[in-house]
Formats: sequence, C-alpha cells, structure tokens
Amino acid sequence: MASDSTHPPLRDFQAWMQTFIVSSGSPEEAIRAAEKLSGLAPGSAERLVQRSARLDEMERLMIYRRMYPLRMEEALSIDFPVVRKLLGSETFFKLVEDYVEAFPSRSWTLDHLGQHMVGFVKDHPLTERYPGLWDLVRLEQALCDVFNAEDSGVLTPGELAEVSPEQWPEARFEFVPAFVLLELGSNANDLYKAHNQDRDLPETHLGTYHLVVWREGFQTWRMPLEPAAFAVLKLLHGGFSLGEALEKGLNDSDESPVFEWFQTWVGEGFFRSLRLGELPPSPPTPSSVSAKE
Amino acid sequence: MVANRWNLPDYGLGMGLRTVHYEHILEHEPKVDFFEVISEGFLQAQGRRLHILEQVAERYRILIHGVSMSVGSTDPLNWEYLGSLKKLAQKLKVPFVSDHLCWTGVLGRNSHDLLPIPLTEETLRHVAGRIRQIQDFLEVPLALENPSNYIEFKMAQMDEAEYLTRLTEEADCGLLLDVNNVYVSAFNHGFDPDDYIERIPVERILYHHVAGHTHKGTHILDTHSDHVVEKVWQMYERLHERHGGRSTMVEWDEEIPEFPVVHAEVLKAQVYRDRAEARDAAKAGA
Repeated sequence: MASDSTHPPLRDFQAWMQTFIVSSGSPEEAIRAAEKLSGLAPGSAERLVQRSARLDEMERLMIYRRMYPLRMEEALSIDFPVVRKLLGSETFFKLVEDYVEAFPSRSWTLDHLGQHMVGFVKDHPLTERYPGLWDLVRLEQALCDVFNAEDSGVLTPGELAEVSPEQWPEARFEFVPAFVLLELGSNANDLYKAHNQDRDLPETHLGTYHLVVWREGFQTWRMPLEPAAFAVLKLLHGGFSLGEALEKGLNDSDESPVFEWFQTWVGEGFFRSLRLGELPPSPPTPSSVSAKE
Repeated sequence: MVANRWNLPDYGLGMGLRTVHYEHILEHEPKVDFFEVISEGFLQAQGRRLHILEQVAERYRILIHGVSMSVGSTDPLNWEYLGSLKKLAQKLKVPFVSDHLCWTGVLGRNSHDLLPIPLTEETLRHVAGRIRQIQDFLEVPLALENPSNYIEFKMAQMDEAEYLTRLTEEADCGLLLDVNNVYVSAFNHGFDPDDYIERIPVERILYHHVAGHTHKGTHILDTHSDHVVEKVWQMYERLHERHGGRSTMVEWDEEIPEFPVVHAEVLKAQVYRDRAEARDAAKAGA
C-alpha cells in the first residue's frame, strides 16, 4: 500500500491511474475506486496531477478516461458490425462498456478482445428485446475466428481419388482450422447478408438454421446447410469416420445427395487431410454444421 | 550534420501501410522509400494480412512500430510478445524496432492507450533497465517515441527533453522523435517546442514521425487525422538542419484519405529537407 504522499511508488501510481480510466460509474466513483485499489488517500487527483493553463486536474484525467471506452468500442465494432447496427450505436456502446468491465483486455492485441462476447451475451438482458442477438454474436465471432485461423493446405480431389471405394467408410477427415459449424436459433445470416449488401436489417425470425463458416484462401464464406448435411459434417468434425457419420447422421430412409455434398465440401476446401484406418473419435471442438455467401 | 549513434542510414520518406491503401500500393507500386507497419497487426498475421505484408516486403523496405511494449509498466515484461516481435523483426530484416515511452497497462490489464510516465528518477531507472533487457533480447536498437501527453504530474523531477536525453544515454537506446507529439505536448503543457527540439540529443534520433492532430481549444489530441501543420514542418526542418537525413514517416490513421493525398504529404517532407540543406550549404559557403 502506498503512503499518503505526492510521490507514491510507481506501481501504486499506475494502479491508481488505470483504475480511474477503466472503472465504470461516474468520475467521482472512479476516483474513489482508484484510491481504494492503490491505497492513496482522498484528494489524490489534486495531489498528483498538474493543472494546465486551461484544464484542471480532473479534466486532464478525463481525457484518458473518455478515450478508453471509445477505443474498446472501435475494436469491437470491427468484429461485430452487424450487432452494432442491430442495437444502434448508443446501446452497443453500453454493451461494450459492460463487456469490457467483465472481460477487460489482458492481451497485447485487441484482435481477441471479443472472444468472450458469445458467453457474455447469451443471458444478457438485451436478448429479451433482441431475440436474435446471441445468434448474431455467434455468427460474427465465427467469422472473426475463421479470419484469424492459421493457414493450412487443403485436401485435393486427386488425393481423394486415391481412396478405394471399400476404404471410404473408414475415412476420417481433418478439417482446416478456418472452419466453424453453427446451429442458429434465428435468421442471423439474413441480417448479416443484408448488412453486407448495405440494406436495412430484416426482421428477426426464430427457427433452426444451419450454417458453415470457413475461409478459403483470403476470403471468408458462409453457406447454409440442410439439417442432414449439418449432422454429417458435425459428426465428421467430431472425429467420426465417414461410415459412422452417415450411419448416425442420416435416417435409414434418407436419400440425401451425399456424393454431391462431398464434392462441394472438398471443392470448397473444408478438409485438410484424410486418414484411413480405425481411430477413436476425438471429442468435438467447442465450435458449433444451398449456396455459399 | 550529426550521424546517429548506430550509423544507420537515412531510409528516406515513408508512410504507414494501411488496409485502405493495400490495393493501390500493389497495383501502382508508388514511389515510396519505405512502409511502416504496426507490429501488433502482423505478429500473428495469417491469410490475407500476411500475404499483403509479404507482397509489400518484396517491393519495399519495411520498418516496424509497436504500441504494446509497455516499457514503463511495473508489470513484468511480456517475453512471449517480445519473442514474436523479434521473429517479425528478423523476418523483415528491420534495422531497428520502435515503440513508445509509455505504459499501456498494469495488474495484468491492458488499456491499449499510451499512458504517461511520471518524469522522475525512479521511473528513469526503471525504464532504462527494461529497455536494456529488451534491446539485448531483440538484438537490434530500440527507438523509443516521445508520446503525445495530456497530463503532467506534480511529482515530475525533470522535463521530457531532459528525461529523454538521460534515458537514451543510460539505456543506450535510440529515439523516435515524433515532431507532432512535441508540438501537441507543448501546447497541452505550455512549454516551448523549439526549445525542446534544440535540447534533444540528435545523435540518438533514428527516426521521425510527423502527423496531423485535432485542436480541441483547451487541448490538442494526437489523432493522426489531418495534414501536418506548418509549425510542425518548420520544427522538422530545423531538426533536419541539426542532424541531416533521418528516416521520416507521415502518420495518417483516422479519416484516411485516398493514397495520393497521403503520398503528397509524405513528399512535402522533401521540401523542408531541401530548404534546410540549402541553408546549410549557404552557411558553409559563407
């Protein structure tokens, strides 16, 4: 704890200034929080800060305090532009303030600032007013994830052609890192599409929607999936062999165009490699399985 | 003319590599001496971002400039970050690495702002020690930038020009002198910017930034959102007269105009360099 002097140890000084900048509430509440955390006595701003010819101590400190949420909002607006459009700038700003209070940046980069947004919004009161909000956050986070995912090679049709028909049931696929399957409870993809086309956002409709989000080369894509295709892809993504995935994912009477699906999935670069032989299924990854968009 | 402590050459006049200009740069290959990239944008770059960097690096010299080193923080140095930075520096073969005289966070948090350091003997020792560790690790000189500040502290025991002079000497590091930041802080704190640049140790200067700013009446914000003001160019001219050629970059990061507008601003620097050199030549001939 710092002594009550005008020259506190550097660590206490930094704890004080940072707390004032990032704390929620009024400036008076923030300075009290800063004094409490740093151990400095009341009146700290007046003791530590030099007035300028035009601004007093608090006004000078407030320059930094005002810039903090703006910088956080700017970073999260890049990751969640459609969420911002849906909520409006004022409500989005408030959401950002609440979010960074719960999940402040602890990284040297702002690229992953929004990584907890999906969990944060899931039970947020705003979801009552905006029932499609959580799905939209999930979709935009998935797009960020595939954008930032590491590069990888893709399985080529030539490599597939080397697999004999009797080996197909035991084939297991490793997916490219830039790949996310989403089962959504609303038409979030329609909202995203409207935003991309510079149109007004459509009404939210509740229902089950399946989507795959991936990156091919430098371009991120979205593609709606039929429920059966989603089920099979999800099982494959979870480490099941093709035979197991088809058995578990399709009904006996299902006449889904599996061959066409595979042609599309390989052509779009969903798979990185293929392995043959019995391997236990690896647990599904945390990420959640028409025309690509 | 004063050479820099490391005898690094003048890499000329450059600008920031910004997303909105990628296509123009790769399509037109404009005459620019170098591009500066924000290190943090490329430490984990994949996909298109990495591809663009590689494409530009094939055609131009790249300098890197960071915002997250946090040399003034009392948190431990982030060696994972520094390791990534070193890899990027080696990959791009940069002659030096630059960041700011500031702290960005403490207690494990990051405000992502360039927060001011109280100018005291205690912080001088603290920062100098960290810079020496960083420089030893990076194996290239570190050029620290004077940030724009909006606040001063009563505990200060020296002014910024003296602090930077002593710090660069004690840490044996370089200086990225941002001429606009001198102007901004001078207005905000009420000191004489011309006196500041006369006192700065020019042999430590490896690099200059110039930029535009936003005047709020009671204070100036370093927004990089406009043309460089005439007074800043005059200060730059005076510095050039003192030390000769130093790599110089125009920062334009908000409300970024079309490439030719920023490029024209970069080329303006040559006008002030020429004027300083003509005056120098006249003095030598007198």
